[in-house]
Amino acid sequence: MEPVVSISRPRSLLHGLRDSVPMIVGILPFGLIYGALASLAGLTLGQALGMSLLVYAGSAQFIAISLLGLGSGMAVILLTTLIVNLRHVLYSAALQPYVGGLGQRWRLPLAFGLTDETFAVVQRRYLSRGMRDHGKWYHAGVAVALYLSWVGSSLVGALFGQQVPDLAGWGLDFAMLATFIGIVVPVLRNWPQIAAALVAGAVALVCHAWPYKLGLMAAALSGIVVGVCLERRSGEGS
Amino acid sequence: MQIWLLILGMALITFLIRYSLFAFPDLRFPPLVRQALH
Repeated sequence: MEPVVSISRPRSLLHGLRDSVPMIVGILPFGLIYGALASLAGLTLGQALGMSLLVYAGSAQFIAISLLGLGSGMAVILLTTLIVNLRHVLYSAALQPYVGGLGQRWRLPLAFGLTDETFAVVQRRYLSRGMRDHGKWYHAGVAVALYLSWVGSSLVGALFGQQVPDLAGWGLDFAMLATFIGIVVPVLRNWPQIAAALVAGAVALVCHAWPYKLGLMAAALSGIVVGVCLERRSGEGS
Repeated sequence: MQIWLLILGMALITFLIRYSLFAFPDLRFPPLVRQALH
Protein backbone atom coordinates (compact mmCIF):
# COMPACT_ATOMS: atom_id res chain seq x y z
CA MET A 1 0.00 0.00 0.00
CA GLU A 2 1.22 3.44 -0.92
CA PRO A 3 2.05 5.63 2.09
CA VAL A 4 -0.10 8.74 2.53
CA VAL A 5 2.15 11.75 2.03
CA SER A 6 0.76 15.16 2.79
CA ILE A 7 2.45 18.17 1.27
CA SER A 8 2.56 21.72 2.56
CA ARG A 9 0.72 24.70 1.06
CA PRO A 10 3.85 26.33 -0.39
CA ARG A 11 4.89 23.02 -1.95
CA SER A 12 1.44 22.60 -3.50
CA LEU A 13 1.67 26.16 -4.84
CA LEU A 14 5.10 25.35 -6.29
CA HIS A 15 3.74 22.18 -7.91
CA GLY A 16 1.12 24.37 -9.59
CA LEU A 17 3.83 26.71 -10.86
CA ARG A 18 5.89 23.75 -12.09
CA ASP A 19 3.00 22.05 -13.90
CA SER A 20 2.21 25.33 -15.68
CA VAL A 21 5.54 25.42 -17.49
CA PRO A 22 4.38 23.53 -20.63
CA MET A 23 1.46 25.96 -20.93
CA ILE A 24 3.70 28.97 -20.43
CA VAL A 25 5.75 27.83 -23.42
CA GLY A 26 2.55 28.08 -25.46
CA ILE A 27 1.35 31.34 -23.91
CA LEU A 28 4.50 33.42 -24.41
CA PRO A 29 4.35 33.62 -28.23
CA PHE A 30 0.63 34.35 -28.08
CA GLY A 31 1.18 37.20 -25.64
CA LEU A 32 3.97 38.63 -27.79
CA ILE A 33 1.77 38.57 -30.88
CA TYR A 34 -1.16 40.08 -28.96
CA GLY A 35 0.99 42.94 -27.64
CA ALA A 36 2.39 43.67 -31.10
CA LEU A 37 -1.03 43.60 -32.78
CA ALA A 38 -2.58 45.73 -30.04
CA SER A 39 -0.06 48.50 -30.55
CA LEU A 40 -0.44 48.19 -34.33
CA ALA A 41 -4.20 48.61 -33.86
CA GLY A 42 -3.54 51.94 -32.15
CA LEU A 43 -3.86 51.00 -28.49
CA THR A 44 -1.48 52.80 -26.16
CA LEU A 45 0.93 50.75 -24.07
CA GLY A 46 -1.31 51.29 -21.04
CA GLN A 47 -4.42 50.18 -22.91
CA ALA A 48 -2.76 47.09 -24.43
CA LEU A 49 -1.42 46.08 -21.03
CA GLY A 50 -4.63 47.08 -19.24
CA MET A 51 -6.62 44.74 -21.46
CA SER A 52 -4.36 41.83 -20.55
CA LEU A 53 -4.38 42.77 -16.85
CA LEU A 54 -8.14 43.23 -16.56
CA VAL A 55 -9.76 41.09 -19.26
CA TYR A 56 -7.22 38.25 -19.32
CA ALA A 57 -8.88 36.35 -22.18
CA GLY A 58 -6.57 35.84 -25.16
CA SER A 59 -9.12 34.90 -27.82
CA ALA A 60 -11.47 37.73 -26.88
CA GLN A 61 -8.57 40.21 -26.81
CA PHE A 62 -7.36 39.18 -30.28
CA ILE A 63 -10.86 39.51 -31.71
CA ALA A 64 -11.43 42.83 -29.93
CA ILE A 65 -8.34 44.44 -31.42
CA SER A 66 -9.16 43.18 -34.90
CA LEU A 67 -12.72 44.54 -34.53
CA LEU A 68 -11.31 47.84 -33.27
CA GLY A 69 -9.14 47.96 -36.38
CA LEU A 70 -12.24 47.46 -38.51
CA GLY A 71 -13.96 50.33 -36.71
CA SER A 72 -16.62 48.19 -35.00
CA GLY A 73 -18.67 49.73 -32.20
CA MET A 74 -18.43 48.92 -28.50
CA ALA A 75 -21.69 46.95 -28.43
CA VAL A 76 -20.48 44.60 -31.18
CA ILE A 77 -17.18 43.99 -29.40
CA LEU A 78 -18.86 43.35 -26.04
CA LEU A 79 -21.35 40.94 -27.60
CA THR A 80 -18.51 39.16 -29.35
CA THR A 81 -16.63 38.90 -26.03
CA LEU A 82 -19.70 37.30 -24.49
CA ILE A 83 -20.04 34.71 -27.25
CA VAL A 84 -16.34 33.93 -27.56
CA ASN A 85 -16.05 33.37 -23.82
CA LEU A 86 -19.17 31.22 -23.50
CA ARG A 87 -17.01 28.09 -23.41
CA HIS A 88 -15.81 29.20 -19.98
CA VAL A 89 -19.24 28.28 -18.61
CA LEU A 90 -18.29 24.66 -19.30
CA TYR A 91 -15.03 25.12 -17.37
CA SER A 92 -16.84 26.81 -14.52
CA ALA A 93 -19.34 23.93 -14.38
CA ALA A 94 -16.63 21.26 -14.52
CA LEU A 95 -14.62 22.81 -11.67
CA GLN A 96 -17.63 23.84 -9.58
CA PRO A 97 -17.71 20.58 -7.56
CA TYR A 98 -14.18 21.41 -6.30
CA VAL A 99 -14.05 25.19 -6.23
CA GLY A 100 -17.70 25.69 -5.28
CA GLY A 101 -16.99 24.57 -1.72
CA LEU A 102 -14.33 27.24 -1.14
CA GLY A 103 -14.95 30.62 0.45
CA GLN A 104 -15.69 33.71 -1.60
CA ARG A 105 -12.13 35.05 -1.20
CA TRP A 106 -10.87 31.98 -3.08
CA ARG A 107 -13.67 31.62 -5.61
CA LEU A 108 -13.38 35.21 -6.88
CA PRO A 109 -9.69 35.16 -7.83
CA LEU A 110 -9.82 31.56 -9.08
CA ALA A 111 -12.73 32.52 -11.35
CA PHE A 112 -10.77 35.50 -12.68
CA GLY A 113 -7.92 33.16 -13.63
CA LEU A 114 -10.09 30.51 -15.29
CA THR A 115 -8.66 30.37 -18.82
CA ASP A 116 -8.39 27.45 -21.28
CA GLU A 117 -4.86 26.79 -20.13
CA THR A 118 -5.63 26.99 -16.40
CA PHE A 119 -8.53 24.62 -16.87
CA ALA A 120 -6.39 22.13 -18.79
CA VAL A 121 -3.83 21.95 -15.98
CA VAL A 122 -6.05 22.03 -12.88
CA GLN A 123 -8.74 19.70 -14.23
CA ARG A 124 -6.20 16.86 -14.43
CA ARG A 125 -5.11 17.51 -10.85
CA TYR A 126 -8.68 17.66 -9.50
CA LEU A 127 -9.67 14.46 -11.32
CA SER A 128 -6.75 12.52 -9.89
CA ARG A 129 -6.55 13.96 -6.36
CA GLY A 130 -9.56 16.17 -5.75
CA MET A 131 -8.95 18.88 -3.15
CA ARG A 132 -6.44 16.74 -1.21
CA ASP A 133 -2.99 18.15 -0.49
CA HIS A 134 -4.10 21.78 -0.65
CA GLY A 135 -5.69 21.59 -4.08
CA LYS A 136 -6.69 25.25 -3.93
CA TRP A 137 -3.06 26.27 -3.46
CA TYR A 138 -2.07 24.18 -6.46
CA HIS A 139 -4.85 25.90 -8.45
CA ALA A 140 -3.61 29.30 -7.25
CA GLY A 141 -0.05 28.44 -8.33
CA VAL A 142 -1.23 27.56 -11.83
CA ALA A 143 -3.42 30.66 -12.09
CA VAL A 144 -0.67 33.04 -10.93
CA ALA A 145 1.99 31.51 -13.22
CA LEU A 146 -0.21 31.67 -16.30
CA TYR A 147 -1.51 35.16 -15.52
CA LEU A 148 1.98 36.57 -15.08
CA SER A 149 3.18 34.94 -18.30
CA TRP A 150 0.26 36.36 -20.27
CA VAL A 151 0.65 39.86 -18.84
CA GLY A 152 4.45 39.81 -19.12
CA SER A 153 4.50 38.60 -22.72
CA SER A 154 1.78 41.10 -23.68
CA LEU A 155 3.93 43.87 -22.23
CA VAL A 156 7.03 42.75 -24.13
CA GLY A 157 4.98 42.38 -27.32
CA ALA A 158 3.50 45.86 -26.94
CA LEU A 159 6.92 47.38 -26.23
CA PHE A 160 9.03 45.64 -28.86
CA GLY A 161 6.70 43.61 -31.10
CA GLN A 162 6.49 46.27 -33.78
CA GLN A 163 10.25 46.09 -34.29
CA VAL A 164 9.92 42.46 -35.44
CA PRO A 165 8.61 42.33 -39.00
CA ASP A 166 5.43 40.24 -39.48
CA LEU A 167 5.60 38.63 -36.03
CA ALA A 168 2.10 37.19 -36.43
CA GLY A 169 3.17 35.39 -39.60
CA TRP A 170 5.96 33.38 -37.98
CA GLY A 171 3.64 30.57 -36.94
CA LEU A 172 4.56 31.00 -33.27
CA ASP A 173 0.95 30.29 -32.34
CA PHE A 174 1.59 26.62 -33.16
CA ALA A 175 3.33 26.35 -29.78
CA MET A 176 -0.06 26.57 -28.09
CA LEU A 177 -1.58 23.87 -30.31
CA ALA A 178 1.35 21.55 -29.63
CA THR A 179 1.00 22.15 -25.89
CA PHE A 180 -2.70 21.31 -25.88
CA ILE A 181 -2.12 18.17 -27.96
CA GLY A 182 0.58 17.13 -25.50
CA ILE A 183 -1.83 17.59 -22.60
CA VAL A 184 -4.92 15.99 -24.09
CA VAL A 185 -3.47 12.88 -25.74
CA PRO A 186 -1.92 11.25 -22.62
CA VAL A 187 -5.21 11.49 -20.69
CA LEU A 188 -7.23 9.61 -23.31
CA ARG A 189 -7.44 6.19 -21.70
CA ASN A 190 -10.51 4.46 -23.11
CA TRP A 191 -12.56 4.27 -26.26
CA PRO A 192 -15.31 6.78 -25.25
CA GLN A 193 -12.64 9.38 -24.43
CA ILE A 194 -10.76 8.77 -27.68
CA ALA A 195 -13.98 8.92 -29.70
CA ALA A 196 -15.03 12.13 -27.92
CA ALA A 197 -11.67 13.75 -28.74
CA LEU A 198 -11.80 12.60 -32.38
CA VAL A 199 -15.36 13.83 -32.87
CA ALA A 200 -14.62 17.15 -31.15
CA GLY A 201 -11.52 17.59 -33.33
CA ALA A 202 -13.44 16.80 -36.51
CA VAL A 203 -16.30 19.15 -35.63
CA ALA A 204 -13.81 21.90 -34.73
CA LEU A 205 -12.23 21.54 -38.19
CA VAL A 206 -15.56 21.46 -40.02
CA CYS A 207 -16.91 24.44 -38.06
CA HIS A 208 -13.65 26.39 -38.09
CA ALA A 209 -15.12 29.15 -40.22
CA TRP A 210 -18.10 29.76 -37.91
CA PRO A 211 -18.14 33.27 -36.47
CA TYR A 212 -17.30 34.14 -32.86
CA LYS A 213 -15.40 30.86 -32.38
CA LEU A 214 -18.78 29.15 -32.05
CA GLY A 215 -17.20 26.13 -33.74
CA LEU A 216 -15.33 25.53 -30.47
CA MET A 217 -18.59 25.31 -28.52
CA ALA A 218 -20.07 23.01 -31.16
CA ALA A 219 -16.96 20.82 -31.00
CA ALA A 220 -17.02 20.65 -27.19
CA LEU A 221 -20.71 19.80 -27.07
CA SER A 222 -20.39 17.16 -29.84
CA GLY A 223 -17.47 15.54 -28.02
CA ILE A 224 -19.42 15.53 -24.75
CA VAL A 225 -22.50 13.92 -26.33
CA VAL A 226 -20.46 11.23 -28.10
CA GLY A 227 -18.36 10.52 -25.01
CA VAL A 228 -21.36 10.22 -22.71
CA CYS A 229 -23.34 8.04 -25.16
CA LEU A 230 -20.43 5.63 -25.68
CA GLU A 231 -19.62 5.50 -21.98
CA ARG A 232 -23.24 4.69 -21.12
CA ARG A 233 -23.34 2.02 -23.84
CA SER A 234 -20.13 0.41 -22.63
CA GLY A 235 -21.50 0.61 -19.04
CA GLU A 236 -24.67 -1.20 -20.11
CA GLY A 237 -22.67 -3.80 -22.03
CA SER A 238 -20.37 -4.71 -19.13
CA MET B 1 -11.80 56.93 -22.54
CA GLN B 2 -13.88 54.88 -24.97
CA ILE B 3 -11.20 52.15 -25.06
CA TRP B 4 -11.02 52.00 -21.27
CA LEU B 5 -14.79 51.63 -21.05
CA LEU B 6 -14.54 48.83 -23.58
CA ILE B 7 -11.79 47.14 -21.56
CA LEU B 8 -13.84 47.39 -18.36
CA GLY B 9 -16.93 46.03 -20.14
CA MET B 10 -14.96 43.10 -21.56
CA ALA B 11 -13.42 42.42 -18.16
CA LEU B 12 -16.83 42.41 -16.47
CA ILE B 13 -18.41 40.09 -19.05
CA THR B 14 -15.46 37.67 -18.98
CA PHE B 15 -15.40 37.56 -15.19
CA LEU B 16 -19.15 37.03 -14.86
CA ILE B 17 -19.03 34.10 -17.29
CA ARG B 18 -16.13 32.49 -15.45
CA TYR B 19 -17.67 33.05 -12.04
CA SER B 20 -21.16 31.98 -13.15
CA LEU B 21 -21.21 28.52 -11.60
CA PHE B 22 -18.67 29.21 -8.85
CA ALA B 23 -21.30 31.55 -7.45
CA PHE B 24 -23.47 28.64 -6.31
CA PRO B 25 -21.58 26.64 -3.68
CA ASP B 26 -24.52 24.33 -3.01
CA LEU B 27 -25.23 23.53 -6.63
CA ARG B 28 -25.15 19.78 -7.35
CA PHE B 29 -25.41 18.53 -10.91
CA PRO B 30 -27.39 15.42 -11.85
CA PRO B 31 -25.22 12.34 -12.58
CA LEU B 32 -25.59 12.66 -16.35
CA VAL B 33 -24.30 16.25 -16.33
CA ARG B 34 -21.43 15.27 -14.02
CA GLN B 35 -20.51 12.47 -16.40
CA ALA B 36 -20.65 14.86 -19.36
CA LEU B 37 -18.40 17.41 -17.67
CA HIS B 38 -15.74 14.83 -16.87
